[in-house]
Amino acid sequence: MHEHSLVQALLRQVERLAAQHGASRVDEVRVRLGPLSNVEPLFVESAFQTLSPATAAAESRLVIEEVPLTARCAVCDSEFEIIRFQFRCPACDSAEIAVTAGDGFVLESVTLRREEPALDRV
Amino acid sequence: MTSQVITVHRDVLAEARADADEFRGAMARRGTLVVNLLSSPGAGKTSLLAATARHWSAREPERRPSMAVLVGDLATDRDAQRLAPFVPVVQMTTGGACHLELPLVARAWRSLADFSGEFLMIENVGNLVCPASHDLGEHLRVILLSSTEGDDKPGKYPKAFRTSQALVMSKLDLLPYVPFSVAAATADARAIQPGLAVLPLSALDGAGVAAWCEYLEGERRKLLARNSCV
Repeated sequence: MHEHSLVQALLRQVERLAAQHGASRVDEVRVRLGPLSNVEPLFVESAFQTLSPATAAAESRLVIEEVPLTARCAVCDSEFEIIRFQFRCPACDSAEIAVTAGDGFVLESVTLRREEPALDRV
Repeated sequence: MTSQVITVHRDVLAEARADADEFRGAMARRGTLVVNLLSSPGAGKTSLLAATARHWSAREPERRPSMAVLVGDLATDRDAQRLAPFVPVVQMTTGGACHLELPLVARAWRSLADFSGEFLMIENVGNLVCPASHDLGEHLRVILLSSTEGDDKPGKYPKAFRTSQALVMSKLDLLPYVPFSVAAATADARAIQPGLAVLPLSALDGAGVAAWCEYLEGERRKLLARNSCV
């Protein structure tokens, strides 16, 4: 199980984004994964609950989007879903295909909250 | 109080991959081919490395490639002890972690500072799941599947097979005793990775070991040719 180390890397990136944008807190962390990510969503969720309280993402909501495994054919340019891990183009049977989604652990977005400067007190 | 959505759309491992690219480039410039060996526990990674070293050591010195091994395990230095009579070896003990990551490999590599040979072999932790996701800066990922594991395994561990360039089928001396079809395992693996090189062998009786060693030397020549072009 390597979800723990993946979530650590995720939280490092979220913390850096929060610092770069001067956020006071992180409301939401949205990640995307798929059939070839080798990542179990339940384990990601539990690693996030364990690790996030000590970070800028404490109290944030983790949203996990599960997407299908898709690819594009380099020969006929068609885009398709890969079913049962058969890595060939269903249109022209070429093996020259590039996976376009569903094989990574992708940080899609973060929702940050920033305190407005208290203008009336300036 | 304002709320702002920052779109990132970046793989969490992208940074680790950039570090791996740097390591890969540095090793290519030294002329060292880095091989990441993946398999389930007991498929014969250490035996394959010992057979490789023995095969090369039988050659006359000027045609003898040199190799070093970084070996990962949860506990013990048993694999390092097995390989130490043949090659420089560093044991990486992960203390329970199920896979290797580049910082561990880079640290072990630094402890081999005086090694400037042709092949750096990384024996990953025996596991077909987690190691598949982690780029160790290798030029070649090789997956071992032994005849005792069954020929239905590729489809069960698609990522490990999809991300590999070569499949070594090991323990083929046991074919008369176990229900394992080389053709079925090859077909199953190539449905996932059509370009996979398949190398059947037995480290025990030595069949196929010469072809495996030639494959490695060919891959190193390709690396050198690619590197001299850039």
